[in-house]
Amino acid sequence: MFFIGFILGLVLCLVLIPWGVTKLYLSSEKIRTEKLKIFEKQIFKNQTVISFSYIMPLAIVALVFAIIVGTRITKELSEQGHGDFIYFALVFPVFGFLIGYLYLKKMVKP
Amino acid sequence: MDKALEILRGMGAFLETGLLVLVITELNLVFEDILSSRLELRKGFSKKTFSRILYFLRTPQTHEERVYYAITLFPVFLAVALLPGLSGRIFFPMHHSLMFFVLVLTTAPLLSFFLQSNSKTQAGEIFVLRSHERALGATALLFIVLLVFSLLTGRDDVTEDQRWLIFSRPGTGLLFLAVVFLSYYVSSQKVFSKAFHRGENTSQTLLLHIWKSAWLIFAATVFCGGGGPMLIVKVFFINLIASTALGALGKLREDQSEGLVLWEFTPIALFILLIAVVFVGGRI
Repeated sequence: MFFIGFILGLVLCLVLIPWGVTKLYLSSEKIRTEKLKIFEKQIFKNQTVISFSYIMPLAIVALVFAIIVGTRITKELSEQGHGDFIYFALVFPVFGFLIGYLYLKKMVKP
Repeated sequence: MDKALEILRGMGAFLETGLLVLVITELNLVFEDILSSRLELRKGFSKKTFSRILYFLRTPQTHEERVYYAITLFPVFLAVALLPGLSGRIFFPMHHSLMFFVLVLTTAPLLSFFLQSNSKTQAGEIFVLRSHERALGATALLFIVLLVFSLLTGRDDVTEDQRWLIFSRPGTGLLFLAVVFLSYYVSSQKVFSKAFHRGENTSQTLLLHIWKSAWLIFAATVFCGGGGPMLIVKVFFINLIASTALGALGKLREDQSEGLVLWEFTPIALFILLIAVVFVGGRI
């Protein structure tokens, strides 16, 4: 119920009040000429954005996985003193990233 | 009766959280406006507080857009509600809240990106979309920073603890700087590069500023003595120092600044991470 109240507060402040303000604004005769200027928007549609939206879900799944794994490693194993496991779980990915980074730097850097 | 009371309490929690975030965002924007006008030897600053709030409220034209903004901002307010607020208490206490904070906050630009790119009108500003890409890219770095924090301090929960961690554990001072710096990096393209004026005052851009405020609140509550009424002052001073320091830096072209971050700063960050990993479990 507390959470529902939180969401209701959000709806009230970010949907209903802006709706009222916009309605008031649009009904104003005085500043009608400014409307088109304010609501003008750019249209975007290019290949980069489309391909990015395919890659992004996979990246987010990887991130979520990393967070869950990281949480388990840090909380439980750190307290139990399994330093080696933490060491390998962090050092190997960092070295892996470093190798990839150096390769990228060699290939791409202008 | 109890349920109604609980719902009202939830609404009160949102109002407190929302007020905190918006006051901090507005203070930051006003200060940054004044600072940039002084650095560029201009008189006054571009937008007044009231007109900025009105602009933010009336920019969404359709119901669809208003709902999009609400959905996009929801994770930010939820994430801030995981931290101690103005009253000093956490509205949604939970285990692993440090990592959960990153996860929830990451969904804000992600949702914004998808909702804009997949909306019927395909409307959105390329400047904002690029910022979202940058924000999502930096999230991995923020996650690494917090993972190191978790390893150094042995906790991954945000508590109502009032200790100043940067003094009691000086090793976390670097992580504090990293969080503050990254919060600027994700919310602005002006950290290193020259000002990019087009579309800077739209409500979509305001999302990035609100996002930065959430990170600054996080930095203040975790590293600088928890929540309470002084939280706004603490965040303001963090912003004051960081904005002044970053404003004093020389400005580069966009490609130069990207080169600086990618080719010069990344190896340093990796080196710091390696050092931190070596000292896992040790008290730095």
